[in-house]
Amino acid sequence: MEILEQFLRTTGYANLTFGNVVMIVIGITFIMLAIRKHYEPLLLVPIGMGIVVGNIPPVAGMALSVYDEGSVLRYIYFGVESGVFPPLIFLGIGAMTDFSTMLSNPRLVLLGAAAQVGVFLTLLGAMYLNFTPREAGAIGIIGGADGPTAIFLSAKLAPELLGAIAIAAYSYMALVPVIQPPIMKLLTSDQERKIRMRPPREVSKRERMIFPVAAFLICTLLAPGALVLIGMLFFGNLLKESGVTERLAQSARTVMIDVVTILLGFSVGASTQAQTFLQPQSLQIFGLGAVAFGIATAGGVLFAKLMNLFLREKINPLVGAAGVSAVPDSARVVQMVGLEADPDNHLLMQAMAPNVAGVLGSAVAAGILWSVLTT
Amino acid sequence: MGIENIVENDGIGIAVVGMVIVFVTLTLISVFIALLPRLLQFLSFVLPPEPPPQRAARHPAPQEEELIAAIGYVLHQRELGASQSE
Repeated sequence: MEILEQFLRTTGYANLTFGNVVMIVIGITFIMLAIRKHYEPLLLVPIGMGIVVGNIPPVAGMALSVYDEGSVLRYIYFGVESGVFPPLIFLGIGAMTDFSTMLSNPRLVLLGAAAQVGVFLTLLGAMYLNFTPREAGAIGIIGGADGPTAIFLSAKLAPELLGAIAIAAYSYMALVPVIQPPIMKLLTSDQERKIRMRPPREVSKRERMIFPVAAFLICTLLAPGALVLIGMLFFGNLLKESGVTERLAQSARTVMIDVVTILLGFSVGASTQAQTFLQPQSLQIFGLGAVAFGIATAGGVLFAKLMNLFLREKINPLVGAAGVSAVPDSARVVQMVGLEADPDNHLLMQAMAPNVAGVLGSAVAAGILWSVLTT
Repeated sequence: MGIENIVENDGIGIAVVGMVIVFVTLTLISVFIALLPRLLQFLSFVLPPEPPPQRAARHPAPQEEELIAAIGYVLHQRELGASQSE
């Protein structure tokens, strides 16, 4: 009888808190949104299930949660907290990215830079809310709209906020089609939205092969903190473009990235235990994340309008919104809003240029913040 | 309180320097990309000529062959039906 009583006391039912219940409901909601509404299913299903798993109350003396030494979840979570998984995802992203739209119209690269204003203004906003500089840097990178980069930087600067930052980053990436269009329409006139741009030129294979090596050198010699992310991104791209390592490129952009995504999403979700996640600062992080996305979108659009003051061949300012590096969702949003203004104006290929440049920009921004806030 | 935190931790300095470095980096990349075709042309006497892009030989995919066969059969049946009704 005593043994039974002891066992019952250690069950999850006995130890379930209201916070655990809330988090389990959130996890199930994420899973439903992914399945019913197709909101970023490859991310929200692992994260949602991880949240459910991570909020089953642990038993004292048993290594079960991501925070218990020796637990299986802890070993998986090692890839997140050590910053191993994000560069591997970048390897896969590089192996599937086509930089030719960027190579054919280099001035659109600057729109990817302009969108990173969301990172640094959010950093200031987080500091204003009395977060420490390291925490503010980790929160600010949400504005880069890049999940792996956000996880990498928060693992380095503020691991205690990693769960909230990751959930915020991926949630807002899924909401890009909701967040961006009103801002884009507010900041552009109907005439500007109808500007047509020249289709991208054909880029030679040699250019596509030289670019990853040269761009890696340019980026990392200026911002060494971006070495790991940028290095893996361009390594993956070189595997793709070299023409002699197609097998490796294929593995990187299919099996490898899928395995890492599963492990990363699941373990990040499992790390969002109620007692660490359901804090007032999580709400602040979510609020700052929304602001970050909005500022990043506005930054790209406004910079495109600024460039148009000096250019003979105008840029459609909508394309600036694609500097938010949620690839390819923000490029698709540009295409959608452009078609609303002019059903014959297809901007997708032009929007991919600042979209991939935004990936570089957010990785460089992360490297800078890591260097400055660590030393 | 919030402003003091920004000032004490040199938040504005970090933000400005960060944006400048991001812009300089991507501007350098943009300039390199713009110069790359000319650089390759300059090096053309050293580098072997690039083969022209190969257009894939137009062999119909297996599914296309089946589709063509199916369309041909339907047209043949229609022609047979038309000639019988005459």
